[in-house]
Amino acid sequence: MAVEPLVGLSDVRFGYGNNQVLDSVSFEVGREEIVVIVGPSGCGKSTTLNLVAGLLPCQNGKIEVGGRPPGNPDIVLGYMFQDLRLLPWKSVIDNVAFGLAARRVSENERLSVAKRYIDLLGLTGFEKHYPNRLSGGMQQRVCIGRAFAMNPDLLLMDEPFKSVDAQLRLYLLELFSNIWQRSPKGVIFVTHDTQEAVLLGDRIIVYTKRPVRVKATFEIDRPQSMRKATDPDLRDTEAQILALLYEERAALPNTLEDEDKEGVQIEQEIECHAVGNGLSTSLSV
Amino acid sequence: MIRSLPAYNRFAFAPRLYNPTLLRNVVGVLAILGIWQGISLLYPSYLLPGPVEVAHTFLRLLLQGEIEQQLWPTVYRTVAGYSVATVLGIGLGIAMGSNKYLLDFVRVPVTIVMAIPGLSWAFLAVIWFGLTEASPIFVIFVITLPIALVNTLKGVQQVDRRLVEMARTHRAPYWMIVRDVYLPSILPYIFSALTVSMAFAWKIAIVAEMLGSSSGLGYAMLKARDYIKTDEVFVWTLVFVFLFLIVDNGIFRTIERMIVKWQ
Repeated sequence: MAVEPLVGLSDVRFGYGNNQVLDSVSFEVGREEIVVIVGPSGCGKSTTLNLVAGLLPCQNGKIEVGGRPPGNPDIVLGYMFQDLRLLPWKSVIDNVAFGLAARRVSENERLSVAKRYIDLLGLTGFEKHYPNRLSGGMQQRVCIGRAFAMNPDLLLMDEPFKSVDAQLRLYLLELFSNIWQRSPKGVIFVTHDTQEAVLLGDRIIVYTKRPVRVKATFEIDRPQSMRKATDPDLRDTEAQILALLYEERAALPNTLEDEDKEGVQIEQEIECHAVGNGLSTSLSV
Repeated sequence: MIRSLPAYNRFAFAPRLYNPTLLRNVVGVLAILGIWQGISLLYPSYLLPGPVEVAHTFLRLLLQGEIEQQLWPTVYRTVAGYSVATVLGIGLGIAMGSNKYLLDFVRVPVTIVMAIPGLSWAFLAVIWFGLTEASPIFVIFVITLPIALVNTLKGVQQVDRRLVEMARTHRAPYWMIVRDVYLPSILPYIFSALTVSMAFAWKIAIVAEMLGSSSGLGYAMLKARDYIKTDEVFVWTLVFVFLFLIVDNGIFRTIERMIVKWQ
């Protein structure tokens, strides 16, 4: 790549004890590029995000964010979680402005930025509402607003639209895509949904089951504004990705149930490790 | 041609008077009073005085200044024991919730203290402090402290770690995480610590005063029983109930609604 990438992973390995999660993962993310990671459930997609965010220590290999190790304060990170994580006691506008408040942006400025995103997301009139009073789709939009309002260099998205129905998901993807086209950022988007992958990704990375390697990489040149879920070319790519994922399934030694259990266990371990280096442990008993 | 007329409410001039919910509430209370009056006619007054007689005694005691005289000692003791206990209980609850070692040390003693009956404390207080002010205040303190503590502890423990993580990933400074995540999620529990302890404080105050005091609602009630003035026992009970309702519904619920308005 001519320009230095925003994020670079080379030969990254990661495991908990004997449990190897990542076995040599390498990829790069450009400054205005959406990289989608798809893979079998519980394989280590979230682990990858936590490594890039610096929530987990990099054990082997090299991770660079903005030319430095993860946790680089020059790079502003934005997040979207699959379980929204809105503050129930803060109004819509304060939730959208939360990332800016964390960066000590003055109140006037953060409210005006937040207001702009609220308008863009069609939430006008709901500024003072509390999240619990909104529908699931509107809460999702608040999350999109919170992620973009802080104008991050890198946006980390962990299956953000997992819990919404198919139609709403298409709508939210379009909304996300519109906003992203107005202010493009580097994005790592983790999902299990191949349709999401082909609609958003400039590059799609397919993971193997654990220990993870990069199984395949797809590049999609078509600009996002011209992508439709019904496009035969995209459907073709989608089918190829699905076929690869099925291979990973077929290659499983055990039954599906066993894999799911293991996946859950790993997720829990990840959670323990992810909070292990912060103040949250001091309050969790 | 059919024109839709504006909705016409013939009670619109007095919306507060026509309130079906309130109406049913009032009818319920009146029914209880009626049944009480009816049964009281079947028994002698020293067993079950009727509502009319109780109201009469209430007015008499009120006009004699007797109610005021017995009410304030109880209020003073309850507030004293309660405020020290809740401040300490909430503080300890937060400390225990944030420090696992402290929790391990204090968990068993607190559970034991909670299991001790209020009456045991009242007896011990009389033995230790005699008929002094310290005696009921001590009992109120010992009973309310663990209640405030446990409720606060629960609040600290249920703080959503995912929200804390969300704040941390946005690189929110520590004071902001405390202000915007910890405090708001603990606040409802602090309120329940305050209200539940208050309820226990009032109730145990009566018992403590019966055993180790020569003034207050509990003492007055005991005296009334000794002289078989059942109507006065009813009056003191009613005074207590009014006090409880005023503090709980009037003061606490209002503050809670003001602060926890996002739920």
